[in-house]
Amino acid sequence: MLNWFKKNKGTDGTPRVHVVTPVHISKEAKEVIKSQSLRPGMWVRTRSGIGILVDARSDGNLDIMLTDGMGNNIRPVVAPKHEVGQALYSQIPIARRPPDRDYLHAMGYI
Amino acid sequence: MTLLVPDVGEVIALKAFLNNTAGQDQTLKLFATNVTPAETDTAGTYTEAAGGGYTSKSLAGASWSFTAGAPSHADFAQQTWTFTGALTTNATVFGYYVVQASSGTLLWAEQFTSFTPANNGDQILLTPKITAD
Repeated sequence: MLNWFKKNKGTDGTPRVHVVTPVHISKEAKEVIKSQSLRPGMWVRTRSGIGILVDARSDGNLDIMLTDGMGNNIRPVVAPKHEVGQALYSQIPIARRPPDRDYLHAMGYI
Repeated sequence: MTLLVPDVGEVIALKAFLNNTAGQDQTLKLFATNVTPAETDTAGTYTEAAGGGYTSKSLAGASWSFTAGAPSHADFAQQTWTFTGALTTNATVFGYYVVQASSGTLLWAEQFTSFTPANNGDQILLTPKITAD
């Protein structure tokens, strides 16, 4: 039976509150990433595919978000640092690739 | 996820630090595509949320507070989005990004746990903060 008086709210009818607290990468994680000649936010290649380097763990493993051909998220993976390298220019999804090729080459995306 | 200052934001920070180009007030926006911030991003990387009562937020430079320490940081008062219902173009919010108010250049971005506004009164509360370490 249709319920014409049903409100368009959550299961309990109460508005929800989503609290966001900015998270900054730790100095230790930065050091782990830097030791591999990598950078936070860098486009990287892994055995699982192309993604973006997000963070590093104390054991040296790296947190990476794998992306699809449009640069959208697929899934996060944790990869050993020796399996991660900077992506090639051609591996950066076109939709996320800046038009200035010289800039990208200077950033190491060859 | 962690906050990321992309290359274009780093250049703005350096220019302001060295008195080459004055800084600007900022605009805080929510993005509604499932992307992770990357160093090569620009403002055009992100699709701003739309509909459902959403509007961007203005962050005046004079309203930031600064604390020296390890790390030093800048903090802004909590910002609240109160939605009137679902977003129109893309339904889910995946993070926020901050651009210069006048130039529109991207300063920083961060992905957060996604949230899909659906109800009148749903809220996102965000307290802007950025560190220098």
